[in-house]
Amino acid sequence: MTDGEISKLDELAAGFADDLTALTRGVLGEDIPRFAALNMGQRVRVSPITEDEKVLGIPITITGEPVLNLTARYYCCWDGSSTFLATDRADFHLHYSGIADPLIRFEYVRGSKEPPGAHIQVHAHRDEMAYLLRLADSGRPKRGFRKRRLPRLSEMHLPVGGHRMRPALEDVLLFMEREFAIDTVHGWRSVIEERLKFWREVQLMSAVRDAPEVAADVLRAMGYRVDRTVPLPRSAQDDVKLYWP
Amino acid sequence: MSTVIHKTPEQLREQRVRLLAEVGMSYEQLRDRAEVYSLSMDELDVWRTIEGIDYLLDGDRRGDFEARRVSGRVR
Repeated sequence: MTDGEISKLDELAAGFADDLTALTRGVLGEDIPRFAALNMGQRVRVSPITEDEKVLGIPITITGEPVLNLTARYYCCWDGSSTFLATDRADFHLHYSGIADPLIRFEYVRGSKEPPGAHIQVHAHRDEMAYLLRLADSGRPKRGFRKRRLPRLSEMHLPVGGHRMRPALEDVLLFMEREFAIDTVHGWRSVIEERLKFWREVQLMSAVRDAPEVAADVLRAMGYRVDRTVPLPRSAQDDVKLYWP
Repeated sequence: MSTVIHKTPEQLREQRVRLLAEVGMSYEQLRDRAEVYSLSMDELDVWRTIEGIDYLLDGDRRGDFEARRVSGRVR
């Protein structure tokens, strides 16, 4: 990496971590631990950390009681030809306080099609679901049976809209507020709405880059004049994240 | 604490060793217990930290030299 790239990476990583701190503090309060970017070479891990640099969960309170804990981690890499940090992986794990087995996991794996890159895993149990997870004599049920792994509902990867439309940390915070009425601070909703708008627009831009002809057709139908003056490099459909599960 | 912390591969490996010593488990023991969530929350935080370290080390395609240079320049 050149010195210019190193500086740019620092700037992007710091900006990303600061944005996440502003989001969580703007929703949950100023006591929420800061996000920090741990960088080595071209890779960065962004999460709240302790003074001795261990990953730290975010305490969530309900009527003043710290009953939930949210771990938020982003693994990012620097693409030297780009001007942004690509998210390789991200996960948000929601725990009941003090219990290591999470309640829900929201996860994203950039290179994954199978299971779907963006998915939710729910840690719960239903006898019928356990039965279904080992019933078939093929695929994942058979592999799970062969490995003698007990069927668990949490092994299911529930798809959530693909790589481009996946939920963000903002969605997870909204989910907790809506379902559990977690404690929030004054002005929280406008903080989330502003950040969510930004997130959705960034993802929309990625989707447009994935399918520019579709975007151009829609714009033309809306009355815009859209002309392409330079040829676009065509990606094989298999490489286009918009069409990935 | 600074928002961006730079580490060399050596520093990360040292931290990894310290973390395993802190919980008194081998990497494999910690991994296996993490898989079935048979850890305390403190141990789980250690496991998550090690996962992050391994992600960073896995991307170390440039060797220790440049990472040391980056660390020395910014930290």
